[in-house]
Amino acid sequence: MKLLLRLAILAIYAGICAPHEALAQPAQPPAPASSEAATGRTGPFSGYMDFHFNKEEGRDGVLDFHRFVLLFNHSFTTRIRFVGELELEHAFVEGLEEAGELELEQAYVDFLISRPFNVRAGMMLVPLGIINERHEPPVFNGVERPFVDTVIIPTTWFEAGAGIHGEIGRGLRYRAFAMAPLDAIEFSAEEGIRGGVQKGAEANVRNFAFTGRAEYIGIPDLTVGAGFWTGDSSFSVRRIDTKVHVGEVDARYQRGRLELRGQFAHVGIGDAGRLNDAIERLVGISPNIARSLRGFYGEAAYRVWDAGSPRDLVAFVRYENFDTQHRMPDGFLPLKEFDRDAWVGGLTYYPDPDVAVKIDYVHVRNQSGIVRAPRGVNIGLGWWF
Amino acid sequence: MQRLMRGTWTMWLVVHLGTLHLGTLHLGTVHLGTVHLGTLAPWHPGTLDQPPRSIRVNAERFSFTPSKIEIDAGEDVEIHLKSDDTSHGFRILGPGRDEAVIANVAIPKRGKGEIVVPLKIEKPGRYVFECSRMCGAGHNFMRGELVVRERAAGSSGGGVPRPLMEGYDR
Repeated sequence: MKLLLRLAILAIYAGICAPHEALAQPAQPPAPASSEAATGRTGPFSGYMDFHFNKEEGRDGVLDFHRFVLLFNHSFTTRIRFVGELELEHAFVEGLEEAGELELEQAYVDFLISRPFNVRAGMMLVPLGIINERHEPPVFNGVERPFVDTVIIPTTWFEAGAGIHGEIGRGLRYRAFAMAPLDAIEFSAEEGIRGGVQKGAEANVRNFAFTGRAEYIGIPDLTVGAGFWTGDSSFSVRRIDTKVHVGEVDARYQRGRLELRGQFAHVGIGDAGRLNDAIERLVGISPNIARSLRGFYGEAAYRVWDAGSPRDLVAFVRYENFDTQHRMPDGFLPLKEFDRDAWVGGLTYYPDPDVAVKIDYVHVRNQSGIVRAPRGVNIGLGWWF
Repeated sequence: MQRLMRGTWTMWLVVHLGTLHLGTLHLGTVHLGTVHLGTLAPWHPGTLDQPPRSIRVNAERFSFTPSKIEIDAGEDVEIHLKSDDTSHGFRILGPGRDEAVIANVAIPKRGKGEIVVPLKIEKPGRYVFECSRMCGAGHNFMRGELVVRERAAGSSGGGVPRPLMEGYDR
């Protein structure tokens, strides 16, 4: 722990002592038009990485190379383009074991037709919430993603499908996709619908799910969005009508050194009582799936050190409230340990706008008198290239 | 390329390399030069009474603000591009099905200054501008529209300088 803290301090010190580029760079001649800098090409690869140290109270610390993500892009023409995102989670994948994951999070072709109307098909991100489509480590505060964007909206939520997107004008943008539905048999009390994402792996499409998002950027410094997901998810458990509806609203506001963001998300699961009974008959234990899940958070961040240089220090605090047992079907009682809230506070230091050194303290509480919620310290290093 | 050789538009790149500050004392702005990107028509960067109109565009994952810019055909404008996060690209494509690349520059990362693209387009139409540098999962959403309006009869193209915010929305 001490060693890691020393390393983090050294990293910050190295950033402070690095040459002040904003002052030092004027001697650089302008790049010719054909160079990488002028054309904006970065080669065939981009990506991001996330390296964490997590220390929960009463447990041993954990070092985790959480995400190793490569993005690929190719333009067939200026109007037909491919984007791919391949993610290795937790550094190691071994067959039939609960270890890391290798995931194809994005692999789609965009047909860019006009400003208001474009077509996309392949493996796509579900357009819900702040984080699911904006999950590069320097983009959000905190070592780990918000809990609401983990157990209510199961980021990174991706699925196979097709749809349309565009900007109608005056700052109003939209996307609307048809995708493979969730598999209700994989839902759980603790993580809600997360386990039900089919991830485009020979996904059952007896019924298609539909998702969409509208986003308004027409007011300076403010982005507001709202998204939905709806689909019949009971193809694995016939004769049950498990429709899942997800709705969320979110907003981000940034002015000067201050950034505020907030999000509210709600999940409704139809016929949850019969779904619990059916799964109990299959596996012997009732999963205690709720008929509704709910979560929200608000975050304030302030750039405490910003002298016009590319290096910044941001302090933030976030309050989250999330309950995966918010409303139960008749005859089922909620497990209070899953009615949780959390305070997360910390610092994000940017030695470069694409590199984030993070430290935070997480204090989770729950309504259970028996099961204690985790609390602890996280240190992270994330970068985009 | 043929369009370029006919000289129907003019594209210059000005690199603004930064502003020198020492504490609160402003020591001046360093402007090391202007690079001609390769068109034929001479560019007149505005006279004393007709300076080019400045249009400020902010880039951020995954949008440009404003995402729609309107200019007149033959009007001298300067597009000042700045990023709020990582390095982005700024590429203007020809109107309609024309896939000619009219401009393509890299926008520096946040805190590393801005880039200025002087621009004069003679042909009216709807041009697309977009991020040309992979900037994250939503990179392909980062697009906007440059509308070049027909010049009114008798107009000299530049006219009286207008306020910065006129002529475009978000």
